[in-house]
Amino acid sequence: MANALDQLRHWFERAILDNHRLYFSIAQQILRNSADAEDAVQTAACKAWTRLPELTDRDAIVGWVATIVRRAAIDLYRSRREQTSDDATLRLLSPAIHDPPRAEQADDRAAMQALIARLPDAQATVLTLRFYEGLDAPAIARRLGLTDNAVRVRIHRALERLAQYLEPQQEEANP
Amino acid sequence: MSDTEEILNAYIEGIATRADAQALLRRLHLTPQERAQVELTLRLADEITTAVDATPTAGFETRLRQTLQAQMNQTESQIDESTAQRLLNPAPRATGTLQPPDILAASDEDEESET
Repeated sequence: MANALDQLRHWFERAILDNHRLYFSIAQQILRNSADAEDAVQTAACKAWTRLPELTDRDAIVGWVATIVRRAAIDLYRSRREQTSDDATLRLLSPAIHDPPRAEQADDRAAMQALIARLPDAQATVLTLRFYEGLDAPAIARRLGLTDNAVRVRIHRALERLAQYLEPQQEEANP
Repeated sequence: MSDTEEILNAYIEGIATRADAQALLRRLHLTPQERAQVELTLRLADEITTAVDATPTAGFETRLRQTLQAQMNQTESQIDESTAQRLLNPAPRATGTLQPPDILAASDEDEESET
């Protein structure tokens, strides 16, 4: 038994550490703060270990942990929002006060992060692996234990959903 | 499906490169709708790439390992042998039971995030 548990620990630890950049990116998209993103990933990793008996398909572990990371990031985001009630302080911290061009870029990035945060978990994870890790659909499928087609469908659906939000802006830019 | 759509889909899926997608804009016979689709896709890809870009803080992986190992040491007894054996030695997938991938992907539609 001791040997089986050691093997399990090693396998689980590798699943977490080999994908720590993915999990960090997912948390950062929601929290937009590196320290908070790190907290969320650590919390999620510990939670995933205690919930390991719930995992039914070992090949799905990366996506399963990614979902737990997302939930942990959302919980932390909500608790931070409740703590930060001083709107005047928030405005002072905004880059809009100091550098308008950078503020516009920051606004665009934050807007897209907010849109991605609203995607279903599986679509957001696939999108992150595609555009952050630079993986193609077959590689994503192997990482997540899915079929190639399931990954392709998720990528396309995620982009369609995001495009719906951008289309009104596209029409304004190109009347 | 047109050749333009095929190349655009291949880029979205990571099979074709960004240069392949950008080259579409230099085609003489691109319809206005196709041009708009290519431009939107390239713009989306740029914005998504910027949005998901994140650099973990220095030493993050080490801290993560330490935190995880501490948790594992604390809760070791909660993982029983059957769980360990099940995950380490998964049963072979049943054959003859086909589940179209689209159904798996379609289930995502019910999971929209609460943020």
